[in-house]
This record gives sequence, C-alpha cells and structure tokens, in this order.
Amino acid sequence: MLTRREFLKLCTTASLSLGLSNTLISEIAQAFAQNLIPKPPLIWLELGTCTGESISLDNAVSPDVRVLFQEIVDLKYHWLLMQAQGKRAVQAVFETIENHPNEYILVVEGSVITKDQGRYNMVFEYNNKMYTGIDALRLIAEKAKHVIAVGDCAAYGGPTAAFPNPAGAVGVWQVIDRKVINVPGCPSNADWMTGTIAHVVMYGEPELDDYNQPKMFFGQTIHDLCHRRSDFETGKFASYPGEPGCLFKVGCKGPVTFADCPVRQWNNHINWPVETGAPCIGCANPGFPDATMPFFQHLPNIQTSLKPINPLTVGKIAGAITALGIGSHLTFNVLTGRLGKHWLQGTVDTDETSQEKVKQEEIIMHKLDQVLHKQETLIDHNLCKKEGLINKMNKLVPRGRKKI
Amino acid sequence: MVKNEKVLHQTLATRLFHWTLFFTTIFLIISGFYITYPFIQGLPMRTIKTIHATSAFIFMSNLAGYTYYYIFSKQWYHIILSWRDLREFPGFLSYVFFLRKEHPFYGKYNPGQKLIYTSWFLTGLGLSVTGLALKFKGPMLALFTPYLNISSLRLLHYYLAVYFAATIPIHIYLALTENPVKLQAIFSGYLRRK
Repeated sequence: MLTRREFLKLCTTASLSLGLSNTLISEIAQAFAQNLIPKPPLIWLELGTCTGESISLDNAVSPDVRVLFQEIVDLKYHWLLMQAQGKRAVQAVFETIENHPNEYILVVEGSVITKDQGRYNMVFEYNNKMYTGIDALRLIAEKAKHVIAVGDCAAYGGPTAAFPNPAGAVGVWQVIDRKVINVPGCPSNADWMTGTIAHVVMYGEPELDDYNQPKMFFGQTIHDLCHRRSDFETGKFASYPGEPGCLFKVGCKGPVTFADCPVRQWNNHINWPVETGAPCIGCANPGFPDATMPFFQHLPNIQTSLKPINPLTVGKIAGAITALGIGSHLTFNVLTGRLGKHWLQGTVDTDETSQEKVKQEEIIMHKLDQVLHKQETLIDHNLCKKEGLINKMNKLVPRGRKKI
Repeated sequence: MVKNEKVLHQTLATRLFHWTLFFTTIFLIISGFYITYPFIQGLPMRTIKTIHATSAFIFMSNLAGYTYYYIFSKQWYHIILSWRDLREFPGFLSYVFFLRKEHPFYGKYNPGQKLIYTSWFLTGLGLSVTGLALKFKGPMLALFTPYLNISSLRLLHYYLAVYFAATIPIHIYLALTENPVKLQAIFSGYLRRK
C-alpha cells in the first residue's frame, strides 16, 4: 500500500499528467484485495445547487466514478447516480445511519437553504414526512465519521448565496456544529474530490488550511503556479481576453485564489481557462462570486441594494472630492484675504499664545517640581542616614553611660 | 523674552520620521496603484513589487519608531485626538469654513490635524497588517479567517490606500497655506519669534 507521503506526492505535482493515476487505482485495488482498507459507506447529499460537482465527478477519468464509488467506497445514496428510486433509495440513507454510525462518509454538494426553515429545498420524503435540505443534513451529519463539502456552494454558499441571497443560502460549516472538510471550486475539480475522498478512506483527514481545505490541492495561489507568471513579472499584460500575456489587467483572480489549476488543469488534464486566454474568475475563493465580480475587473464590487459600488469609481470620486475641496477652499482663501495675510506675516511667529511659550512654562514648572522632589528625597535620605548613624553609635556606648 | 528668539519647534527625530514617512508614502502610493492597474506595458512588475515591498518595510519600521518616540517622549497627546478636541471641533470647523477669522490656541496641532494624524496612524496600522497578510499569506492570513478572505483583504488594503492618498493633498495644501512659520520648521526644525 502507498504511504501517505507517496500518496500526497501523487496528488500534488509529480504525476499530474496522469491524474490521480493508474498507480493509485492499482495500489488501492491491491489494498482492498488484501483487506488492508475497510470500504466505508458513503452518502452523497445534494442540496441547493446545479449538480455541477456530480457532473464534474462524472468527467473523472483516472480513477473514474465507477472505481470511486464501487472500489474505494461503498456508495449508499446519490440521488443522480443510484439505481434505486423513491422510498427504497431513501431507505438506504436511514439504514446507513442506523447500521453504520460513525463509519460512513457524508459528502455534501450544494449550499444549505435556510430561509423559511429551509422550505425552498426539499430533498426527499420518508415515512410521509418531507425532509428539507437542512433537516437531512443535520440528521445525516450527526453520525457521520467525516463530512466533506464539495463545490463552492457547499463550502461557502457560492453562487447560490450571491447577493441578494433570497434563499438565505449558507455553507455546510455554518449549519452543523462539527468539522467540515471543504473542497471548493465551481465546479470542484474531479481530482480534488476523488483525492480528498481517497485520502479520508486510506489515511483519515488530510492536512487542512485555515478554511479546512486540503493543503495538497489548495496550498498555493493560482498566480504562484501560473505558466504566464513570467509575463506578469516582466510587465507583459494582455489588454483583452485571448491576447498573449498575463491576464492580470483583465481581471484575473489568480493572485487571490488558492488552487492548483495551472498544474492540474481540467477536462482530464487537457486545459484550463488561462491557457485559453480567459482570466481566472476565482471560483475556489471563499467569497466567490461576490468577492470576485466583475470577473473582468481587478477589484470586486461591493454589492448594495441600490447599485454595486465599484472600487475604482470610489477612488476617482475620492480624488475628485479632494481636488474640489482644495480648489474651492483655495478660492475662498484668496478672496477673503486669509492666504495673503498668512503669507505676509512671513516665517516669524507673532502668535503670543504660541504653544512653545506654554510648553516652556510647563517645562519650567515640571523642572521645579523635580528639583523640589529631589530635595525632599535627599532630606529624607539624610535623615534616615543620620538616624542609622545614631543607632550605630549608641550601640558602641558602654552600658550605664548616657546615650546620644 | 529675547527679541527674534529662535525656538525649537520640530525635533530632529520628528523631522526624520516625518520625511521618511513622506517619501515612503509617495513610493507606496504610486507603486501600489500601479500594481492595481499596470498601465505601462513592458515595465517590469518585479521591480515595482520590489519598490513597494522595500518602501513598505521602511514605512512599517518608521511607523514603529514614530509610535515608540511619541509614547516615550510623552508627546502622544500632541497628535492623538481626544474628547476635548472633539468638543472643540465645531469651533475649528467654523474657522476652516471662513465663519470665524481666528481660531483659539489649540496646542501644537489643531483638532483637524489631530483627526488626520490619528486616522493616519490607524490607517498605517491597517495597511501594514493587510499588506503583510497579502505578501506572506499563510499564518498572517489566518488572522482574518473566516471574517475576511484574501480577496476582501485586498479590497480593504485598496480602500485604506485610497483614504491615505485622498487626505495627503489636504495636509500639504493646509501646510502650505495656513502657517508658513510652522511649514519652514518642518525643514529647519526651528521657528523665529518676534
């Protein structure tokens, strides 16, 4: 079986052209054949989303969905990919909770809809009761061994939670009181999902960053890994999408997005947006999409109920207000004669209440206080010294003689 | 009182801190806004980033030195806005907007100057922390998690820089037009009194 170190190496850069690779599949197959790894049950719960993660996972090549769900884990429920329907399908969820507590893995796709007790997101019916997404999540997550949120919606709310967020969509970690492994992206790369699930199965929880994202996939920014980085450093910028050069000026969010897209790439490691001349839109960013829109501008807008506020416009307005303020004040300064008066006075201070005089008086008073304090201390010290000397001398006086 | 007395108004330390702040801020603002939108094709970004990082390092050291100096020389009350200054603010504003001819004696700096200096101190701190987080990411970024992500942090850094850049011209304008006596003291350190 692969060591954890070898697995991480496989997941990061060494064999990216091969995906999570045949090496992984053969190693896992061998490990399962020897009963080295227990095959944990897995429930895939979809909430408020576009099914993008499932479709992205469907594009996985090595390992593909079949290998993942049949050889690495024991898939119990996935409303899109399972054969059973209706009551039998949902029954599998409840049986897994009952028969495999603290053994199964819960993978959540999509944001949690919280508005009106989550009634805008009904996920299934069981025993004549409709379950909302939030109820189902709380029920299943309670006894799950690991909870993995895949896609930006499940991790942070994503596009479903974009302003004005009428459904009150939030990320999974904001609803359940336990650790959630976040695998963001819109959609999440198939390798990120299969890699995280495989790590959890084989070695337990992977090393996570401050957003609980696996460091093996989200440890560096896209900007740091980008093959157009040299264009950025030498100042060769594209003026519009599709042009050669760094796409920084056309709004690339690579500098603020942690993901390994440039080296991993998409569609079975064939290509990725920047290679085709489109800027990164920062889909793996925790604030996506509000924190990265407009996609073709460097800084994001601040969304308000009236109008989005563009930072460059704010900068220009601030500059204009300053210029206007100074200009109008200068005009009044000249017209009222204040400026002339100030300049005619020249550089000799005539102000009788000048701070220096006050300060000098303060300094003198302070110094006098210090001198007095020193004198008092000295007197006290001398008195003590004198008393000590008298005591010492008295000790020398023979008994019966008069003491000092 | 001696006629034409020469009085020390700005100590050497204050002048050094002031002019270091001036030059580093100029470099930081120009290079910072250039990084936001690189408008010159072919100008190496590596050089601009080095200028920005070096200036930022000097700026932060200067800010630390400035703070230390004002605290330990017990002069911080000259530049930090107090409740008393806030009470005097309406009167000061009436002078600024030409409703009064003179303003009373406020001390070394007036409430308007104190407001700007206090806000600059806070802005400088904010810029330093957000700048360090953007530069080094990792543990510095963790300070803001999960309240601010890196994208929002970059936006905050930008807005703080806009505030700095928009208020500096006001300071320069008022320094040039209000009191030539004190203006020359920031160069020479001294002012001459009748």
